[in-house]
Amino acid sequence: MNGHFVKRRCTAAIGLLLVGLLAVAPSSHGAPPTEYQVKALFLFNFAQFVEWPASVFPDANTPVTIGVLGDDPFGPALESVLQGETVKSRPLVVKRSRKLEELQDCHVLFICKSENDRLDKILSALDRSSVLTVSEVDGFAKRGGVINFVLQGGKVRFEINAQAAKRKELKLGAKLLQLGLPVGS
Amino acid sequence: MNWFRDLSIRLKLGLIIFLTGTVVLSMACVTFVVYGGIASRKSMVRELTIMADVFGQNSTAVLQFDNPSEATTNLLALAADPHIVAACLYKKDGERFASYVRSSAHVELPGQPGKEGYRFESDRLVLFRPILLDQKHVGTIYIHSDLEAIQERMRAYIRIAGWVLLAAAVVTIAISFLLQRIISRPILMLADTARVIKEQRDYSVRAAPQGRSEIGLLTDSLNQMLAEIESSQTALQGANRSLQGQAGHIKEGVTVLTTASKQILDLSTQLASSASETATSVSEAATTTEEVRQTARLSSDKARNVQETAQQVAQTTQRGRQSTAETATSMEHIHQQMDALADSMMRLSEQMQAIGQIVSAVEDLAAQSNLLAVNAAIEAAKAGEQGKGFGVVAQEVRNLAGESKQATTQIRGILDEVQKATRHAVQSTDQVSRAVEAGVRQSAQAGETIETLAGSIATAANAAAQIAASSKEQLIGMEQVATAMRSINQVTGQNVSSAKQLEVSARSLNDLGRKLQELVAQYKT
Repeated sequence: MNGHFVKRRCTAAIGLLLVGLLAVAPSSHGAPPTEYQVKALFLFNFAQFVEWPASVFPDANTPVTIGVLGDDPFGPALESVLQGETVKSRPLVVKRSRKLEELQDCHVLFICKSENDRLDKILSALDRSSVLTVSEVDGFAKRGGVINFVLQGGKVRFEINAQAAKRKELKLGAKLLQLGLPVGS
Repeated sequence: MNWFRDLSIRLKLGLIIFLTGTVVLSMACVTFVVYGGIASRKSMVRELTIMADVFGQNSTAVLQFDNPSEATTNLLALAADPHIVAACLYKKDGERFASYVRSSAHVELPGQPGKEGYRFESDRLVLFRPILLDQKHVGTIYIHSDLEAIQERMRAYIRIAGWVLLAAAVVTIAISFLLQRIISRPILMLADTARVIKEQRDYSVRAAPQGRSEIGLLTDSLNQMLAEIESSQTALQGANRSLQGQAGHIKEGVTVLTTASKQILDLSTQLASSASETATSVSEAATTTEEVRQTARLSSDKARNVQETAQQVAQTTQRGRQSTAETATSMEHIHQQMDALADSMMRLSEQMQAIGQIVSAVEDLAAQSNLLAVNAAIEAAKAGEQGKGFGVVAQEVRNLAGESKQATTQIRGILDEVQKATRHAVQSTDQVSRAVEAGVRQSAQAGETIETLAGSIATAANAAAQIAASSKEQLIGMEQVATAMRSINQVTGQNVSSAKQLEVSARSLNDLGRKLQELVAQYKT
């Protein structure tokens, strides 16, 4: 990294972030974040720590799409977290739907609890596609989902199914894997 | 620095090489150590920065996923580096998120991330690095490292440098003392040769040639010089021998010179004194000359006087001649008068005789009177008182007789005298006659003599004139002589001073001769 360049950009980024956070997320200033704010943030983080195969990004400007399948538990938190963010200079887009077909081109797909009973079907449909499947139901990872949110001691943690990721040609960063709880815990 | 200059060349060269090597190496070592120190710091900073960045990168997930426990666990990995004293992670809002402090350390951890970059403090290096995820600043990492590594390395460097220097010194000494031989051996050989030559004074020795280096050139020059010295020494010895032969001659010559100069000195001394004497004599002579001149003048005057006198005499002679003639005439007169006189004399004599007779009578009378007186006196005496008067008368008669006798005596005396005188006169007249005759003759002679005299006087007058003339010439001559004497006086005065100078010179010559003798005496024969 070019130190000087980075320093300037960092300062600018910090400035922007602070302003952004202050402006857009007054709730994060002072009040602790809610569970779904954290999860929303984590979704964004996943996007930062996961590498998709090139095929899912036809061109440089293709946005990273985060899809929410089912009953959206995030609300505006997801947008507010993603506001102004980029992942590897790609903009982020949020899609919500109840129909899987509409969300098949998402890069990150959060499967809400509401879809739990159709989970296997959803997962098998997405088995080969390079969609990062995230949920928050028990056994999601065991059943083939890639990342599953768990709550541990009031803190949001997550399980990672590395094999599933590998199958999906998703490269998960080592740091992410490190943070992931072992599957089945 | 004299002590250095006097060291042997081997030692000098060795020392120089050694010092050069050691100094250069020391400089290099110092440079390297210093550079090593600087580089160590730089590399430490770089390493720490890399470590911080790497670690920061590794911590993006824990930061993003807000997992301080994992973060702290991760930070523990830094324990592997014993030099890392502390480390912190800060979230992007500046809140300290996780930290690590080495077990034995007590350090303050900054509550807020500081300025990005590194800072060296006395015992630590601290570093703040931003943590970037996808070029977005997501947090800051702080690392505090101690400087042990650097210090250890510096100590190692210095230690190594020390050993290297020591080894290098030893090696340099060894090499230098081996290599110095290359330079020193030819020089020492040359020095040795020179010493041999100096001690034995043998100029036939030559130094071994040493090639074309400066030593070689020096050797060649030395050999050349020795050859020249040798040849000039041979020449010198030859000259010396001939000189010694000549020294004997010189010695003799000098002896002669000394003697001669001594003689000259004596002579000059004599000369000086002679000159002085001469000067004195000359001055006396000048005086005398002056006197002579005066005398000459006088004689000249006198000659002139003589001349004048002669003239007067001549005149007088003339008068004399006249006188002579007159004298002759007078003589005749005298002759005649003499005859008359003779006659007178005769008559006188006759008269005198008559007187004489008278006188005799008187005398008889006086005598008889006297006798009578005496008898009377006796009778008177016999008569006594009465006779006193008679006695007196007798006395008076006696007296009268006495006086008469006296008178007659006187008269006789006078008569005698007259007689004598007459006789004398007669004689005289005879004499006079004879004298007159003689006179006449003599006057005649005188006349002749005067004539002769006149002639002589004329001659004398001429002579006197000549004398006067010659006196004048003499005077002139004497003047010249006087002048000459004055110049002689001057010259003799100069002579005196010259003689004195000569003396001085003769003395210096004498000294020179002596010195020369001494000089020559130094020369061994």
